[in-house]
Amino acid sequence: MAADINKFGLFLRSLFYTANLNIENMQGTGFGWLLKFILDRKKVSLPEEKLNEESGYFNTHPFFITFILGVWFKELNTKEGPDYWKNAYSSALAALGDSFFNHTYKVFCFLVSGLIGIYNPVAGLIAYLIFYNLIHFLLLFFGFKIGFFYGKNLITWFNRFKINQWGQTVDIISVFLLGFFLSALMKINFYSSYWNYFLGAFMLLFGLFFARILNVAITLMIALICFGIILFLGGL
Amino acid sequence: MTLSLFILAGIVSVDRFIALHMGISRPFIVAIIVGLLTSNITYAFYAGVMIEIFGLIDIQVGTRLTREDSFLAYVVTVLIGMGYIISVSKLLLLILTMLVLMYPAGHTEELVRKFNRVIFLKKGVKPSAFLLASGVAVSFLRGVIVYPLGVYIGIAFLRYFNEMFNTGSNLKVYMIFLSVFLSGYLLRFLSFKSVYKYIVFLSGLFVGWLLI
Repeated sequence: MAADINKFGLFLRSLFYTANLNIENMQGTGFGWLLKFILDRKKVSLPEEKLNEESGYFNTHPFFITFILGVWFKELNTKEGPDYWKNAYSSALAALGDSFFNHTYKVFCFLVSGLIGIYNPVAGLIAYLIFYNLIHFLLLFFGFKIGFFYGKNLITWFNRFKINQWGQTVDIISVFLLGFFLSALMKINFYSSYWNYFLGAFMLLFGLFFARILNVAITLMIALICFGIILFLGGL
Repeated sequence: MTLSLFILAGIVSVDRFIALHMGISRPFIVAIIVGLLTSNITYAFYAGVMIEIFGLIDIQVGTRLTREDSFLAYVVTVLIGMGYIISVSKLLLLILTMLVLMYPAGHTEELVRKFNRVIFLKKGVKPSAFLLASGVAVSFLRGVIVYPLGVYIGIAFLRYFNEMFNTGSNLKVYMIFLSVFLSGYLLRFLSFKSVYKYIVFLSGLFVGWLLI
């Protein structure tokens, strides 16, 4: 029924479904809007009361919305109904998206693009947008089809790729890249002197130390004042 | 300020929470785009790197509002691009001021959510494109007002201190050392077994030093 939905139309709309984000129903308005779009296209009728109900509280990670829509349609006429799985998957995918995309993947994309950007900032900009959005767009584009195919068993699709292990692997790569990036940043911009190397190591250790005890914004303010004092005493 | 900078401010604001979610609002991206628009890409890039590392440490979980790092990147790089920051001391002073202004700027995102709530309750639960379009429009407007306002406050501030704080000329050196300092936070932020983490990090430093 719904598997042959206009993927591009749904993809474009899914980029805007969070636009009514508020503390009352979170992304519920957008979820109802996307649902209505699919129902209209497929000429499937749903009582207005039921459709309005679907605009109630809903929250997930924006990259996974089409998966949940797919599951919802698959489970529409089952005994358990679609809402049980909608709630279950929205929470699970929100947690997955927050931990992987917001915590891990952003750092990885930045470090790769930053390395490219040292040589050519515009290439760094393009690289970031490609790296970051490649997975984003693929998930939104194919999410509905996958969600509809697997229905309530969608978790098996995620388990197949061992997605819960990706975070740690990407974090390891990012830590390596962070070291590589800092070396590149120093070596390309400064003369390779012991003083600069010592100063860089000293700054890093300071950062590591303060990260344990102080909020980053407060520390940055203190660092700016300290740098100002160093500047007036003769500079770096 | 040019029209393109105003439009960019609106798009960045929309991308942060309301729609798109394409990473356009990341400080690194904001800085490079502003650098391109103001023809001062090198300094904008290094400012972007510094503010991106600062912003990455604040993770966006669920509905939590994160620090307005996009605002910080936008204001600092626009002022660098427009030639208002000619000394290191002015740069340090500007970042310090904008770090404080970042908090009220962030609270305007809360106002957008409140507006969305009011309009949702007023229009009823029926899902409509109007509710979403108004959310995008208000968020865009927030960007167009708040971000350039930060720039104009920055300009007024720098003009006030025009005769003072003119020490230091190598902006890049200070931005890089601030980035290195903030990397300590980022290193602690990345989560896996601690001892291995430092070994992997040191090998990255070493390989980078050898290869580049």
